[in-house]
Amino acid sequence: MAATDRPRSIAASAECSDGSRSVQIASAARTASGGAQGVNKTISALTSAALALPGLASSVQAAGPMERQWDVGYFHYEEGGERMRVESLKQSLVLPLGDALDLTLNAVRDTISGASPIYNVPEIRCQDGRVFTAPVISVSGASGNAEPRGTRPERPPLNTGDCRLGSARQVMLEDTFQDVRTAGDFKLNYYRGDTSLGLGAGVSSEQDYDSRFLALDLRREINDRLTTLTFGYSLASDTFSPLNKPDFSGDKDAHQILLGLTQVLGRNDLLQINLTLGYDQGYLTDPYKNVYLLSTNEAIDESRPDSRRQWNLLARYNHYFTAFKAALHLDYRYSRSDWGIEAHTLEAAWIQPLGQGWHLVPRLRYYTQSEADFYRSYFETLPASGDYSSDYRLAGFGALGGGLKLTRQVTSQARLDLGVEFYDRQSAYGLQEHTDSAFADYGFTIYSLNLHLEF
Amino acid sequence: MPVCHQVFKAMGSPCELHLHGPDAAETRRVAASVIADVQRLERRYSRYRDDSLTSAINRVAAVAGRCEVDAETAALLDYADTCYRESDGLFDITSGVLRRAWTFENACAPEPEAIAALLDRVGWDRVVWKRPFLSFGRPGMEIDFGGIGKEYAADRAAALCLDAGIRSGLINLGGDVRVIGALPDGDPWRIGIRDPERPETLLGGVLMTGGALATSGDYARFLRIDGRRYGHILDPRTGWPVLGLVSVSVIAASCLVAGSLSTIAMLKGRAGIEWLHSLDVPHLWIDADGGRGGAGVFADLLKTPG
Repeated sequence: MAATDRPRSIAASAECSDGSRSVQIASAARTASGGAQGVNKTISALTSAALALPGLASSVQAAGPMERQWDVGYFHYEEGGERMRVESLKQSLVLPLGDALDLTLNAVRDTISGASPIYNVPEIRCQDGRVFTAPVISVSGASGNAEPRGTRPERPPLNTGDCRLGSARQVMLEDTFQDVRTAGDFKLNYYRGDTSLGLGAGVSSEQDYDSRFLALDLRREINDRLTTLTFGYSLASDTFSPLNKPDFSGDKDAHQILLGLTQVLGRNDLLQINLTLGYDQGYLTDPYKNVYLLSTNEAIDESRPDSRRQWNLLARYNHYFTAFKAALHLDYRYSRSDWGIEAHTLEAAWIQPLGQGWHLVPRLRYYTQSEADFYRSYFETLPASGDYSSDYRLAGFGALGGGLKLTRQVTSQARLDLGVEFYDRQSAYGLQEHTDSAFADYGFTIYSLNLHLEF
Repeated sequence: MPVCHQVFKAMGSPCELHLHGPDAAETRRVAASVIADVQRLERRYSRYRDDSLTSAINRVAAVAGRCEVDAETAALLDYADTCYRESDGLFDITSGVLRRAWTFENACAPEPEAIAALLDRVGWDRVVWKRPFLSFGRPGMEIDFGGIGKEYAADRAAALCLDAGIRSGLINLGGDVRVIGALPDGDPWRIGIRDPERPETLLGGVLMTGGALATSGDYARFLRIDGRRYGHILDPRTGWPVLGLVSVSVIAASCLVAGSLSTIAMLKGRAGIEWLHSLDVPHLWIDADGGRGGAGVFADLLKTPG
């Protein structure tokens, strides 16, 4: 049942998968080496001339196979109000294979439990003080017995002046399931001079959801390694076999193309621009989500378009403050899909070394999205387009997130990370015009512990 | 992790090498190849050796001739050319000939005529450098890789170590220091900075996990003329020693850049202080009156007494 609301992977909720990690490492390496290139014209002129001397170019290291390392991490994700909980164990092993290759192996095991919203019903408030929550006669779909089936219950007539619609509330799929997700993937990188090529593939399996993906990326460093160009393509092929629909399964293909440019602007500055284009096709509906129909007083399966085009822009700026020996990472993301959702994310992180191997990383994020064209909290009647959803993730809202990570380099080979992250979604935080979805407001917290070993 | 520590003498200075490698025998082999390369560069570029390439070039320069140079020398000349341009003509590898007028043992200024005669033989702009050909516009000129060779050797040494898989090391060629990574336990290297007022003591230490530290100036050797303290670095425009700063240390990614920046700052005299500041590099300056200042790690060092 994991295919409902929880993030597909916890890492995805905490950080995007746009290769930002490798960029941070690259900039850290440049900073650690004292800054290879000067923002100042004199320093850059001298540095370029110095690098032209025989044997010296290699002192600014070309991208090459990663060092042998092993990461093991534990994550605890918990939504407020008795909702979803995920316990996650992750492992990652990096093995250099000779001078030109490295292999990364990842494995994840998530245990998921908790409740998730299925649909929303409006409250009916009458002048005489009575409050009715519109009763539901059937829940088609969800495997849990969320509401009893039976004869259609009475409901006060609306719009007569006596009773009117009030705010909505969520009907939850109760805490009746437990699922385990097991996933594994590999990535092989090949380095040749200024160019590196990556090939990756992986599988992920749950009781009701199977996913396979293949990814290719090409990176090329030009302009004295001050500029990195990235091209990536990935294809994920998923099969959904909802537990509440025994004879049904739906397939989905997701294509993604990434074009990236990373530019070292100077000794202390780095700029990255990534453009991602995505095309999903197939069964994109969430089989566990319903919409509530006011006209017939029933909940029926939601229905989404069978394709989605999406594009994302990431602009990232890193600045190293010599005075504080600290780095600032500023990210802005823009995303837009042909479902009508437009989203902006603004994020800032501060990486502060505290001495003696300690690092502190506070992080703050703001997110706002508009609602999908076919989203309503509930529906009067079914729209003619045939697309309708009341999934709160397609509503308009805003969210504030933040976190704190404490890192301790225990020895030159071992590092321990301890993190806590919070997220608060509020309909009222949303900047774009949207219908109120305050009934769906919620938050989550992630605690994480990671051990990193180089050996 | 096995450590290889070697002390040797090259380029007229005491040198040392600390390398940490995964394998003792391999690390010793790397150290030997580094020392061999430093000695090769000394043989090649020392102006004190008659059999060096520098002396051969200077024999051509003496008669205002033209010679063809190899790729390594060409790259060094390109580098010297960049220094000349970036310093507005202050950093000039042809200025060494001026030393003939200044012997720092006797405390009197040379005759202006003597300086003028030598200045006639100075000037990178009187040299035509068109790779791979170098032609001298006047007879009696000289070039000198003194301000570049040692730093280049330190950077090459670091590159050799990196290529051989060394990820922790320190190379010190007569005070020009290049650091590779942190110490194996993750701690930074601690580099002592000599106190110019009391050369036998240290002003303090800076911590480095990469990059290079170079110092220009020699507070032990100076001239006092009319009560003013002159260093031994000569201004190619006036032929006089520069006035103002007696020592400049700079940290940069490479030893060459650190060395050139510190030398150019010295040549600029007191204006070098503002210039260093505008470059935003960690640096330390000491002036003729004993005043000090700096930025980056050196600012911290100046704050802590002793």
